[in-house]
Amino acid sequence: MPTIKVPLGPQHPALKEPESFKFELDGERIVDVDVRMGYAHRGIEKGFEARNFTQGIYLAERICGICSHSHTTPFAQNAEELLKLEIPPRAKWIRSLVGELERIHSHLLWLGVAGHEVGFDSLFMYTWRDRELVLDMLEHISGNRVHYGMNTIGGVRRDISAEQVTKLKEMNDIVTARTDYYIKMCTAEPTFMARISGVGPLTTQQALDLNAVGPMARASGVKRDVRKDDPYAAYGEIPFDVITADSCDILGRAVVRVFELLQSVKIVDYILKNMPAGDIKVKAPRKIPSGEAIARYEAPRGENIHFMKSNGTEKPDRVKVRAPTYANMPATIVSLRGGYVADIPITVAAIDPCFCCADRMVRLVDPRKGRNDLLSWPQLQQYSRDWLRKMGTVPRSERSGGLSPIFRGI
Amino acid sequence: MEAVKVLLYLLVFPGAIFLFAFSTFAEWFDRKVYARLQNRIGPLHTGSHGLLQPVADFFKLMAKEDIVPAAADKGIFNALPLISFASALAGFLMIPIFRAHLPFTSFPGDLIVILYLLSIPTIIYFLAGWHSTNYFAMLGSFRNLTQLFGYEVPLFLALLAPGMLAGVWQGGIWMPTNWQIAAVGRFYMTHAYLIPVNIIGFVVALIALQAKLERVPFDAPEAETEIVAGALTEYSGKKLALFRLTVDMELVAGSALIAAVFLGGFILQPVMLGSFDISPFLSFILFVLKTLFVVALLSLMRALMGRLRIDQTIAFSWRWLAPLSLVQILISVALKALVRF
Amino acid sequence: MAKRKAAAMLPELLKNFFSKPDTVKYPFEKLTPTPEFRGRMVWEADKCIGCQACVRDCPTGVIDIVKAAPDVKKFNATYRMYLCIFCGQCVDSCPVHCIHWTSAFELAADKRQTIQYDCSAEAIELARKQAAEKAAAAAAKATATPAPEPPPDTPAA
Repeated sequence: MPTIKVPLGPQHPALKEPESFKFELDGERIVDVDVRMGYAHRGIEKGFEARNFTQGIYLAERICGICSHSHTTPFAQNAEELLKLEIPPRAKWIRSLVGELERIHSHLLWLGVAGHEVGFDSLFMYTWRDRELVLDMLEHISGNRVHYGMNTIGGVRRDISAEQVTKLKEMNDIVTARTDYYIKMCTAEPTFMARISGVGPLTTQQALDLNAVGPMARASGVKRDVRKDDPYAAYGEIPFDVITADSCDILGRAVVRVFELLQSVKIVDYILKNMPAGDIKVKAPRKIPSGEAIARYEAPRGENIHFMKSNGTEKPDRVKVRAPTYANMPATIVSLRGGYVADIPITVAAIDPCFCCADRMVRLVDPRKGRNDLLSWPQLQQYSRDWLRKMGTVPRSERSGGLSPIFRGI
Repeated sequence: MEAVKVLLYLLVFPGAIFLFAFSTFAEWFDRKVYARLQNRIGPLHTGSHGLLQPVADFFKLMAKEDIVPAAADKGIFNALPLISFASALAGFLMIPIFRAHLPFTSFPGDLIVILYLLSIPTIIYFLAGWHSTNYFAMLGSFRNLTQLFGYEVPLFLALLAPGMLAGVWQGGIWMPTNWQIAAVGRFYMTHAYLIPVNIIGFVVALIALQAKLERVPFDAPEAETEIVAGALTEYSGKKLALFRLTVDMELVAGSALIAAVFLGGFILQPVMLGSFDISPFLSFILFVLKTLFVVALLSLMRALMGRLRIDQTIAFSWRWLAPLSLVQILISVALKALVRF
Repeated sequence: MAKRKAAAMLPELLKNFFSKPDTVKYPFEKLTPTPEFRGRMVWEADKCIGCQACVRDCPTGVIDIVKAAPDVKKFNATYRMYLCIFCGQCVDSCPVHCIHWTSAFELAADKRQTIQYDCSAEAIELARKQAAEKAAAAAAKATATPAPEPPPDTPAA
């Protein structure tokens, strides 16, 4: 039977962020998938080059909402490595604490989204209600529910008080109880299990070949976790287990995430008991000597890599971000093949996609000529101004107000 | 005079206006129960306690832009909402609400007629998706028909089982049932101890009705996260308002049908308040309560489970629902043969 | 892993059906944020030494510091709150700690100019004087309510 090409996205109720999937369908079976990324590209890597390192932390945070700490921490670690600055131990432990709290709320969010994608809205409502507890605790500690702004070059900005420690312990107990309930209920609920068991298969060999990261790889039995393989912040001193599953399907990914959540709760308990006293930051010079640094971080979605090149000035020369969702896309394509149309939302959601993290580079393709050009920054600016003039709008640089103060330097 | 009475019956009560009010009320009730089960509030601000929210949704849709896809067949595309609306409305008229009814809405065999009338909207959804020339709509309409093959048989069998039991012994001869809902209701009001006998059929009919209304766990034809809106993806504005009203009416008509067939009919003996017989009013209130009870059960089912894939729905229907409905039929037949009442 | 059970969520659903909903009917019921919440910033313009550290470190270019008067060493801070991302880096960068957090978060306005604040010392004086006059008038009306707290800065015209 001839196959039909059907687009899913970039706007679709299943996708929380825009992404273009072009499916080749044979009835209800998926034959192949073509993924076009780049809809959430915002020029952030270029934006880093216009801001100094302190400003860059906040820009790094806003690469993504739910994995915000996963971007500021490697960014700050890169800057500290280039400065050869040793941050106080308490700062490292607080970074790990906030990172684990982020993991807890991100996995609860994922559980709700997975429920919603299979039509189980009650699970969605309950998990997000319980997630509010974690977000309230993060607001207590850092001042905001997402985009915590905890990190600064040289340490962290806020300390944890004894009262917050008590509240965190209470929250931990409640989250553990609720997660145990979800484990019990979800594995007993036949409709939920019918939708995720055996769906979206990815064998261990495929996970290794396609460089799957995070829970996607760990659900196929690949025991990789940056916190254990390449410890950063305080993870070298905290005992915890790396959760893997053998079922190689979406049920495995769900199991990995939920048990990782419970591990994170234990890590938070350990941190609260054993955090060393002391300063929370050291003063960092504004100019960073030339050099290159790489930092890896285990975000809730997988391995996050930051590369930074500095040139002795206040602003970085080049920052490159490789987000986990970007690494998981080939594995997603393979796990979608052979499935049903009905499995598309949950299979895509099983990598916990964060396309705003992943869209770092855009290649322009001219569909009529089939050419793809790479434009340099001045060429892109010229292209955009020409296009605006053709549309009848005056480009911002030629208006009386001029560009916003941030961009006057470029 | 007779003509005026008929027109009032058809258009005001229990016709179009009453059905509009009752179906929006049932949608409100469904949304509130669903929300409360999920620890939320549900509609709150439109009207007192959000009662006018479904009405507001309807009028908002009526005011929106109505777009017809360029490649679609305009005549059929525009006519389909009206046909499904008409059949749902006609179906509801067959259900006895209280004692006074007109002869042309309650007659022997109306149980079969209402089942057919309520099947028409499903076929209309298939045609709507087919004529939309959109792949998502086509996929939705395929799933619609596939699901029809799954739940239709158990639904019919389960709804016919109480009717089979509801004949009468007259002078030593068993008068067979005449498939009139009012007669079935009368039978179960006089033999109220027989209502629990139909429990299996009640459960099967509830589940099959949930599949007919395309609600979770059987809303694969309308899966929002997979195929946007299924067969109705391309509909907007007034046509979508009519389709959504049809779904609400089907909810009410299906629930009322199950309530009328399984949970007894209306009050037979006159209840006197002073010199005024208020039994029709009490029957009406009883009817509303029974229907809302069934709607509450359907909302509970909606909150309880996730969505099944279409192949899993069919497997479930043929593996569980159809055999159980046959079991109910067997129970009815056996009771009818063995016991004299 | 539990064995499959139909209607696994039923006890939880019924329990929640009979308990109070978790939703807060905002804005008719309000939730107060925690004291550590990062709302809008306020300046004590008296203390400002004009070092421009906050201007350099602000990620979105929200602050402008200019001399308030040619003869006195006093500075005017313009705080463009419509650009602010409430990160609070300015609070950390200021060497004399003249910027403070508040927990104010209901900050929406119709016009951009309404939420652009001019934090000059004279404006503070004037606002304090006006507030004191209003408080005296209210106290003279023989009600027992205390005088309202004067806001440290006022919207630009």
